[in-house]
Amino acid sequence: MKRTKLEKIRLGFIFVLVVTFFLVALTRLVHLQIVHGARYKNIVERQSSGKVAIPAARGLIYDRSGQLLASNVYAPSLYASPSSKKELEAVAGFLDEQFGLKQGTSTKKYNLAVNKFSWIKRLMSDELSRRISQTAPSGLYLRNETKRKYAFGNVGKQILGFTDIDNVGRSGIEQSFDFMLSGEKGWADIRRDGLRNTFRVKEQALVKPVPGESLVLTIDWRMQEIVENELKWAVEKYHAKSAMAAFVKCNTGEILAIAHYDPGETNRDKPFKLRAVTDQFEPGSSFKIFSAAAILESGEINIADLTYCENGSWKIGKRSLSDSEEHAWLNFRSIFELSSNIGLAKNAIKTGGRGIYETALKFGFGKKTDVRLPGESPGSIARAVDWSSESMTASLAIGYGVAVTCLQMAGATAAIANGGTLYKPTIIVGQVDEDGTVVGNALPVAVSKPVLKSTIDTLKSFMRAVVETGTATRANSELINIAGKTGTAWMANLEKGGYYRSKHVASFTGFFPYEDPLVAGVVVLLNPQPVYYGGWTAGPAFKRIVERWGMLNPDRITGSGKFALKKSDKNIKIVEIPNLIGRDVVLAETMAATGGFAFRPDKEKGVVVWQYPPADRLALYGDDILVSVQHRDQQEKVFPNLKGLSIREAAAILSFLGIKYEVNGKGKVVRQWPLAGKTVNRSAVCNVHCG
Amino acid sequence: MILNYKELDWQLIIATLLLSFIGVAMIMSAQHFADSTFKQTYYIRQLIWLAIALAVFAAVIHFPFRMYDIGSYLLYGFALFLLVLVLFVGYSRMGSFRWLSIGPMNFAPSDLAKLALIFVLARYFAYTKLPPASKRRLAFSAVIMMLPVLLILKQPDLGTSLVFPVILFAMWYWSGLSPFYLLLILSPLVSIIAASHWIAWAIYLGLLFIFLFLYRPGLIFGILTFTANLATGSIMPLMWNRLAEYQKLRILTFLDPGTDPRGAGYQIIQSKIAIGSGGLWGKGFLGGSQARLDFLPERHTDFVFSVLGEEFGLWGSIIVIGLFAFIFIKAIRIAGKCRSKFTSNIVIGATTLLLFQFLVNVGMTLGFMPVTGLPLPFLSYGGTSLVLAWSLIGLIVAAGYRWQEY
Repeated sequence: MKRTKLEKIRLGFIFVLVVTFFLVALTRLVHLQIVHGARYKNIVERQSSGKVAIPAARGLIYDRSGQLLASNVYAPSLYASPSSKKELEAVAGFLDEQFGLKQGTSTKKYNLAVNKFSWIKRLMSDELSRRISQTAPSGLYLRNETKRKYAFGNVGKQILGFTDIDNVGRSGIEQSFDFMLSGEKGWADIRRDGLRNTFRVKEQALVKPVPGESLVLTIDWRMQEIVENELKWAVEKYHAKSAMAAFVKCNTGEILAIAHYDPGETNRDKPFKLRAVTDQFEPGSSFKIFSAAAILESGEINIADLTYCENGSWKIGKRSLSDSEEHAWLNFRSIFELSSNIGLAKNAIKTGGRGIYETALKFGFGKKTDVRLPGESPGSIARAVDWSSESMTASLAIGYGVAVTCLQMAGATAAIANGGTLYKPTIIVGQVDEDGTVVGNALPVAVSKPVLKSTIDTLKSFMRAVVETGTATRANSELINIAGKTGTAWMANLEKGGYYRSKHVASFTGFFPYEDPLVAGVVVLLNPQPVYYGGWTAGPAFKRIVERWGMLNPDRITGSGKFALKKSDKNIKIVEIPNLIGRDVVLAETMAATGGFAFRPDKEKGVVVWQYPPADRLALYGDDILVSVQHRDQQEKVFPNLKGLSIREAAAILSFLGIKYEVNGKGKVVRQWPLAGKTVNRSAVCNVHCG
Repeated sequence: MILNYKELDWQLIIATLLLSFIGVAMIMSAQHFADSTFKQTYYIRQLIWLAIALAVFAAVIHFPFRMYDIGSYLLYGFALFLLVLVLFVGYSRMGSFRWLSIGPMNFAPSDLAKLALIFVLARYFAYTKLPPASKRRLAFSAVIMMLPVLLILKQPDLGTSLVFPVILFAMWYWSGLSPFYLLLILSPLVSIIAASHWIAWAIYLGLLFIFLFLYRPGLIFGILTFTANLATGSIMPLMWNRLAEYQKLRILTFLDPGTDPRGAGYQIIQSKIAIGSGGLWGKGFLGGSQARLDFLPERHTDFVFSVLGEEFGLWGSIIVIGLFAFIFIKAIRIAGKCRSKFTSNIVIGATTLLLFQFLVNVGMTLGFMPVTGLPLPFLSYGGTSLVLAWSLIGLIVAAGYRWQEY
């Protein structure tokens, strides 16, 4: 059959249809694949791949002896991500029940929604997470997060600061060194699945996280604990509003301990301030160390020259100066020793205020030390327009119109103690590299040499005299010779200006041991009552800190000779010191009390591992016995300081602690391993070297 | 029957074979990274089905055409019987009863019904003496078409039922119904669209009335057409409300896939993304991330073309579409040269069925046609679909071989 023309047209039409569709499809393909190809490739990339941050392990923090202070622990966090309405309901019901909420309230409380991620509870306890993980419906998941762990609880927390829930430092070292501690986040390449939005992590992370650097602080943790304890003791004993203190190493400027104590302070685990750095106070007479340095440095006075001290009251311009005791004629040494405002002011006027001002600047007052702790105050020194003003000069000389921080004060005192070099205070020894060695060990930075060595020597002897026979005899320790200066100032009224006449700032600034200064520091009590003299309040607190420091450094104790001296006094009852080592602390206290001693343990529970003075020596009735106490049944022990002990004493301590040991040599302990303060496992063998 | 194999249209066979093997490869790629071995071995089952399909193809080309002529009504009756049967003993998937289980195989009677419809209509239009526009002729053929459609709608399977009127329409067209009537028959579809706004609908009905009045297709035909337009337009909103939610969504998302990117529009969007991201050269065999990461749904069945577009890019897509175009043009040529009207009708019917599925499927994956659930012939996974497609090719090849027979 021949096709009709019409039929050919019909066929042609179908042909056209096919060709048209082919062209349309082709156009469409070109449009999708060539014109918009790149865009769709992007979409594929976006919807199918993503990046997930891998948190970097936060750096650890050690103290100067290698004691671990801050570390990381894993804690599970609970989150909800229900993928359907059904799951959402199950999750909401479960949470209502689990957290004892009213029915139906958890949806709102936790912002639950389908396909929405919401945190329920972060960093939970193991117990809670275990309970939840067993019964949780699908839609609720656990994710491990890291949490900061502080080995010593709130001890030194003011220095360390804290991290927030996202592990970012919010105060203290955690904040100011966050850039080093936090490390760098890693990124993992992930593939996203089109059906259930599940994640498939590729074999390897694209960018590995760089763990944060671990820091070694200059802080001596044992001393830090001592300072905190003693500040608390002082606040309670002297009814002070609060107390603060700072101690630095004399010949490097390294901060050994820095703390404050305020009974009204809440949230001690999340301190925002380290008041010894952030808060300034008026040092009062403690500042006389530096005005005296300026006066001596000027060379215009002779320390033997007598100054008339106006019998305790002197009008200068509109101001009147007074002394706490009435003095007539005093030489410069006595003026310092007895803290005569009038005497010092007269000498200051003689040598001029400018010298004192400039010397104070050289000692680092009035500007930040740049210690890299957050919120540091610069302090201030009132600057006279015209230093011929006698009243301005007098004020400055006796420490009014001067505001300082504890850290500045400690640093400047260290400069006196070390013979005249002001070092920049530091808080970091360095970082710990992968092998565990400390790197980046910065040499001490000498900021200035404010005064000559000869001036310093004179001043040091003055400061020792203050403690021996002057205003601070209560700070005189029989174990370690302390030198220093007391200060009692009116407390500045920050709201109205001027001063509170009934509130005082009591301070004691000093260094020890006097013969070979190691540590310089300051203790400040705010508004102690009713006794408010620095020498009666801050002084004894300083002494207690020094004596307990002596417990850690027995080879530094030099004062034993004094016992013999005093024993000859017939009016004094002499008793034999009992051996408390190895006794339970309660028993030891009873034994000490029977002997008439004041018992001073550093912990309230445990076994005595060290005492001073040692047993069998003679001591005065009523003297202090310092003891170091440790828990007996701890799995891990802090290694005691054995230096300077006899083999028998060392062995007794070690066996009471249950630490195995080896002894080499004879005589007194000269070296030990591990070092004092290190944590040792019960099974570890300790090496004690005598010589 | 002995054939002279040299005379067979080998170009057509080879083009179809190529498509089938590309299909196997794409099915393999689509589920290569699937989480179950069952899915990963779809392509092996497809290969087995291809062997069966080729056997059926060989049987079809050896089978005398006269037997189709004679057996067409029998086949039609048998298909209707199976369609009824499937409603009672069928095996259901996703809420519709479409398959009969015969041993390990699932068989869709609607596929057989398509074939039967082609035979019956081919036979009817080949021998009827009635003029093309005769009412009886139109009505009878429409009833023949409607019976299986109603049964299939009962399953329900809207996508498959669409194919039947299209076959009828093509047969009408090929057997001489003038385009004027065809347009009138199609006019209710226009009415559905026009009825979305009452002014547009009023203008359209006015124009239709004038048109009918001027060209006078006959009173009854005119009235029927007008009534059909009126009816479809007015019940359109009612119908819309009666549609299942997923059907509404499909239509809406066809109009704008962005309305529901996570749900119904998801497939279209992901298909476009897959094809678009393929670019000019594609991502290579097994390299399609859209398929691998489960973004493409139904990727071994309805959206197999998207896998191709992603992995072989523009050139791969052009080759496949080109092969299809080649097959269709060859088939149209055969339809044109067949001396027997019955044979020619069969070729048109078979071509229409393949062409329609091709157009709708590729149009869907490229995002310019709605999602209907029609597989791509030769490429999509599915045994009966493959066997059906190869039998249709068998009919076309056989017709081409016997073009001189009356």
